[in-house]
Order: sequence, then C-alpha cells, then structure tokens
Amino acid sequence: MKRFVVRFTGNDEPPPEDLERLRALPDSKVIDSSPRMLLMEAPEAALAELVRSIPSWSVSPEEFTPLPDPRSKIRRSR
Amino acid sequence: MPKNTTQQYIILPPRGLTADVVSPTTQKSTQFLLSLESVRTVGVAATAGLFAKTKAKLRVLDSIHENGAKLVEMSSDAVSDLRAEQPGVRIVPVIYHFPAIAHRPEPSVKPQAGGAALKIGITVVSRKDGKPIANAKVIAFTDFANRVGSQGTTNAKGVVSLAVGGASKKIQRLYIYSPMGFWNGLKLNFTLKSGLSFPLDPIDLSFTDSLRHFYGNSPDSAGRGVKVGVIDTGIAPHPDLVIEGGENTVQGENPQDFGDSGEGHGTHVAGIIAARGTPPTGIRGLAPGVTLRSYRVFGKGAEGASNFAIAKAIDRAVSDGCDLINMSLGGGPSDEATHSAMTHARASGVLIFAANGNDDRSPVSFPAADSVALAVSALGRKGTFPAGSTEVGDVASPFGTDKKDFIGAFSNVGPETDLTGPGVGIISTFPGGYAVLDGTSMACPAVTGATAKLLATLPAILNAPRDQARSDAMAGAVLQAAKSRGLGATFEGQGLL
Repeated sequence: MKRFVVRFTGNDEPPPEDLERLRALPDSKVIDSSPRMLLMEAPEAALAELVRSIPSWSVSPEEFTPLPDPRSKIRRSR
Repeated sequence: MPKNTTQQYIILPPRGLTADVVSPTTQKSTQFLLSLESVRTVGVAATAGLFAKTKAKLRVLDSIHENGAKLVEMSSDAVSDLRAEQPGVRIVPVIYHFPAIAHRPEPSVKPQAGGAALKIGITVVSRKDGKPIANAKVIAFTDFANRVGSQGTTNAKGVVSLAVGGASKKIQRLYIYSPMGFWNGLKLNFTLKSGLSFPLDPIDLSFTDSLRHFYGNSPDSAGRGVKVGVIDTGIAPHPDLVIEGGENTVQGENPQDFGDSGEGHGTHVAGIIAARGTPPTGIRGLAPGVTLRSYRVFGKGAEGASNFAIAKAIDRAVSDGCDLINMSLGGGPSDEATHSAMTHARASGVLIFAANGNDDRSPVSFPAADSVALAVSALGRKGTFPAGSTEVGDVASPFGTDKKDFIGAFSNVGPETDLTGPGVGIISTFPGGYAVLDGTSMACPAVTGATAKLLATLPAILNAPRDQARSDAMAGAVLQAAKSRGLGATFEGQGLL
C-alpha cells in the first residue's frame, strides 16, 4: 500500500477531532507522526476523499530527495 | 552577460491566493498587491514607481482579486529585483502541463570487441610523501560530453583498474575524488596507460579557498545570538564544531541520533556556517558564534530523504527556536508537505535557504525553486584552487565584472535564484578530519553563515516577534545587502552577501 504525508496547513494546532478521523480511516495505518503531520499507509482514494472533507489539511505521496552529490558521474559505461 | 528573458509569473501573497487585509504581519505584501491592482490597466510605465530601486518593471496581465494573486510579465532581472524589494510575496513562473509522452530508450554502448576485458591499472598517491591513497573514486571519461567512461575505487595500495576499452586509451577527463584530506584531482586530454601514478595535493588548512577569499576569517563573535538549523545528513562530532542539539526525523531510526549518516555532507555544511577552529590546525566558518542544531533527514545507507522527514525537520527547527534553516538538498519532486512546512516556517519568522542543485545548468530544483525559500547558486573564483584539481573543470561562463569570478559549471540556474555564495573548492570539516567539496550544497551554507553574521548586527529584526513580518524583514535585509558580481540575475540573483 502506498504511503502518504497528511499535513495540517492551518495556523494553530491541528484539531484533535481531525486527527481522530484520520487515524480511524479503515484499512489504514499511521507509520509516524509529528505535531502537524501523519505518515500513513492508506487507500489513496479514501484518504484523498477524507482529507478533502476536513478543512486545512493536505495530502501528498511520500517522495524522496536524493543525496546531494556534485561529482561528475558516468551515464554509460565504456 | 547572460540573456535577460521575459516571461509570465504569478505574484502571490505569503499564503493562499488572497492577502489578509487585516493582518499586520502581511501588511506590506497586501499593499503591494493592491498597488498592482490599481495599475493593472495602465501598463509597465506606471509600475516603475512601485519599487524603491525603480528597476523592477512589470506588466500586470490579470488578477484574481484586488488583494489577490496577479499574473504578470517581467524579465528575469526584474524577478530578482522584485524579490529583494518585496520579500513577503511569492513569485512563481507560469507553467504549462503537457501530455506525458514516454522517452524512447537510448541505445546502450557496446564495448569494443576484445577491449572491454582489458583493464588499465593506475596508482593514486599523496604529492607530499608519495604514500598511496586508498578509497579514492577514480572516473575516466573517454567521451565527457556524453559521460561515457569507466570508474573504480583505489585499494589499500592506491591502485585502481579501469576498463576503458583498450590497453592504452585517450582520456578526455580523469577525475579522482579522495575520501578526505586531499584536494580532488583532474587531468585533461591524455593517454591512459598502466603504471601511471597520479598525485593529489594534501589540504592545507591555511589555504585561501574561495570561501576565505570572499569572506576572510570571521571573529569568534560573528553570528552570536542567531540559531541555525542544518537539515542534512547529520553532523558528526568534530573538534571545530559545537552542536547544541537536534533530531533525527528519519522514520524508524533513533530520534536522538542526529550525527553523521555516513556521508559527511552535513558535517561539511555545518563547518562552513559555524566551525570554530583556527588555521592551520583547524578551520573557521563564517559565523562561529551561532548556536548550531542538526536535523538529520537522510537515513543510514539511504539514498534519499522523504518529504515527511524533511517537513518534520523544518517543523522541529521552528519549534526549537531556529532563526535560519539551511537546506543543502533538493532534486526531488515538488510536494505540498515540504512547501507547507516551509510556509509555516516563514509565517513563524524563520528564513530558509536552499541549494539550487547541481545538474549542470538545469532549472533550479525543488525546494529552492519554491518562492518561500531563498535559492542559492554556486560562485567560483579562479586562483582559489590548485592547478590540477577537479575545480578546474568547474570553470564556465558567465564570468563576472571581475573576470576571475564565475558560476560553477555544475550549478543550476534560473529566475528563482536569489543569491550566490562560494561553492567551488570549499575546505570544511568532515568526519575524522577535513575535506574539499564543491556544490550549491556548499554555497547555501556560505549564504546562511553570512546571513547569521549580518542578523547578529540587526537586533531590531532578530528580536522582533516571530511572524511573517520578521522573516520578510530578514529576507529583505539579506537581499538588499547583497552585491552583484556582474554575473546576471538568473545566475546570481541579487549577488553575493
């Protein structure tokens, strides 16, 4: 199952009832959390629909930024 | 001088699509958007009066609301000037989406018959005493433009075998990257044969590299009172560094393990900002007086940092009271979580610097390309690295008003560039010693360090309430203090701080 970052975009603390609704999403699992975010394994459509129904929350797929490396690299071996 | 192109941009308030007309922290941005609305039908000439420098001219094409986002047309130079004069607004290029057509796979290069099996053995040694250098990465390019070649790593005897397609081969470029303690080596256009020996120059900590050329050695007090968060591969314990604390935000790892992930990158970045050593026995960063915190987002053995870890690190740095955040990372896809965390940081009075990226003049990568962060390109200076070092291969046009200045060939560039900093041939701290690295990753902490040094002299801004107005004031102070090196706005933004 894909992993998603669910983030509170409002100015204050996220409402506890919002967090409860997110954590109660069927077939989902909270992998990690911070005060303004949840890292969730969840069915994409169901999560997107739930997030749309709660004001000031956003959802995005978990993405990765590569290690910075300015060294010259080989694209094709000889 | 690089081309100054005109294109369309969207000018947005700090958050959302319309400015908050009652918030005192975004008052300046709101007034600016309202002013643009009032001249929307008049044209370029009338907008000139909106800017103190009267350089940033633009044409307002459309608007979603009188205090809302504006579609404008302006030159890349004007974008840079506008960022300096209105640091609270976001400026994003208009983009168009196209059908996703898959690229055709490229044909692979087949080794020449009988040639691939032949390997050429060479040795890498120290120029000082001739001792072999182990674990040096050696890359031989037979066709540099297409990046065709062979690579390997030296063994304990300093020997590496390269399969370049023959027992004797013309090499366009041979790069040697040492693990640490030496300048990296570059040899151009020669015939590679077995038995050749390649010496590398040991690092002399009193050498004037480009960082010290532009900034000299800072006093102990530089940056005092400013707290800086480094979001990176962690910071290793080092005699020249004092780390106040931090957090590892990699999911599944120990949150208290914010030391080096095994890469050394974050330790190098931290030294550029805050190293407290004294040459020739140590090295000194631009702001030794800052309070330094480490936020590790790259896992041990991992090749990437997740947007969750990065956004969490930004949040943590904000709640820990950091004034500045350094993000020498990028190249992943643009994402809402990181953008939202950076927006929250700016609204909490924190300024973020991000590296442009090292993809050989490609567009500025995310998150530097996000208008919320200040994007940094890599400045180089001829004469600040040894002949025969890899930095020789980084020299590229454009050259500045002083013809020794250039933007590193690897540096990404574009209208999102806000500033430039020394990023070619930088000596800094490394786990277990010292290393020379190149990249916008090095330029970014140079700007962060210089900013900390500046902010320490501006208590009215530093002690202001932690809100959007504070981070806007910081950005404005930095961008207006920067001086052009004559490289053009898409390459240097407002220039060097």
